[in-house]
Amino acid sequence: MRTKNLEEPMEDAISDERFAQFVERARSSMSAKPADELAAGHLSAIVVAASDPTLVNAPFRPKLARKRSRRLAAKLAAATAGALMALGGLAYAGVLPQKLQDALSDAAGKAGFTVPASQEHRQDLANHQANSGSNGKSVSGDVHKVLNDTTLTGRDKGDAVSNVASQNRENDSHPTSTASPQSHDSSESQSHKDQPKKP
Amino acid sequence: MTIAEFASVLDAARSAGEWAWKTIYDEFAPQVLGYLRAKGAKDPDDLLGEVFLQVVRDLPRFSGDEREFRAWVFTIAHHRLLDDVRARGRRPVDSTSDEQLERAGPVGHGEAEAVERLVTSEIEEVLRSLSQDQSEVMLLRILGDMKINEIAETLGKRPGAVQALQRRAIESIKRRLERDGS
Repeated sequence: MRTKNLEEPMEDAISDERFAQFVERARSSMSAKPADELAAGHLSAIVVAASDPTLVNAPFRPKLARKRSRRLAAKLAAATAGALMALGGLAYAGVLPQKLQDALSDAAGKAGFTVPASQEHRQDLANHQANSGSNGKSVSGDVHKVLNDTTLTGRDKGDAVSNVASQNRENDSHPTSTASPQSHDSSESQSHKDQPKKP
Repeated sequence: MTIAEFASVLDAARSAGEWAWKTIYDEFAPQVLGYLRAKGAKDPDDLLGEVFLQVVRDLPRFSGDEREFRAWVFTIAHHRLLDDVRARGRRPVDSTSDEQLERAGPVGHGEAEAVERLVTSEIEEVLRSLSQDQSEVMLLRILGDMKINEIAETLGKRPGAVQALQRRAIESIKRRLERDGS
């Protein structure tokens, strides 16, 4: 029994001189040597990929990865902006429930907005100033330095304020300096300025 | 390249030998680029790079001789082309690509290049006169040097169907060549 030769039509056709010439011309003229610059770029990428197994095994989707990352950042910013818009001035006034205020402050800080942290942070500060008594100058001075620091935002600023206030609280047990009434007054007035206004 | 030479090139490529990858690229890139252009890839240069990166990625799974390697590379090229077409289908169609404009541009080329372009356009015209399936089979056959079974596997068709497509394509080309007297 004769085995069916799948290649027969092409073999027969190639025996036709005109068709054989066509195939040869097609092979040579349709092959397109890549430009030197392009070939050099491709070869660099190939060599890097071949020498780095992590790149070789990873799916080659750099554009997709970048797009996903951008989409995620945009979603985060949009969600924060949406939440800020929805909660309006409450967030900026710092009078939302503590957890929500801190969460918004944190998210807003990441998205590039400045929203104060919860009132608890500020209350801590006020209490501490009231309790610090003779040590009031150092408390308010250090804390206000942090409060006026524009490089800190949101929760980071709140944490920094708490840290400074805690340090000063520890110093209270070993008072080393005496503050003048004038300085205490001025710091207190500044402290009132920083307190969020209740609606 | 002899069988032994090609085997040593593949071994060196698997060990990330730069010379080996250059040999492979120089040997196969022109035909693959020709295929991508003939199939109307929007950015054939970019696609060529992606094809070779996939070759790098999948090389550990390949085994075979030079002809089989060529067929395997063309299978990858065909699949990347399909991905590209699908992706383009999801995006709005934009104007003629730089690639197409450059190829169409008649200025600044020597006589030899002009003649070559004429030959290429004649051949492309002949292939365009075929159905899409017929021209696909002929391109993989001529440029990829692929066998019927390999083309069938790549295109997801039965070998008999591919053989029939090829037969009709050859008849059509022969008729055209006779008519044109070339």
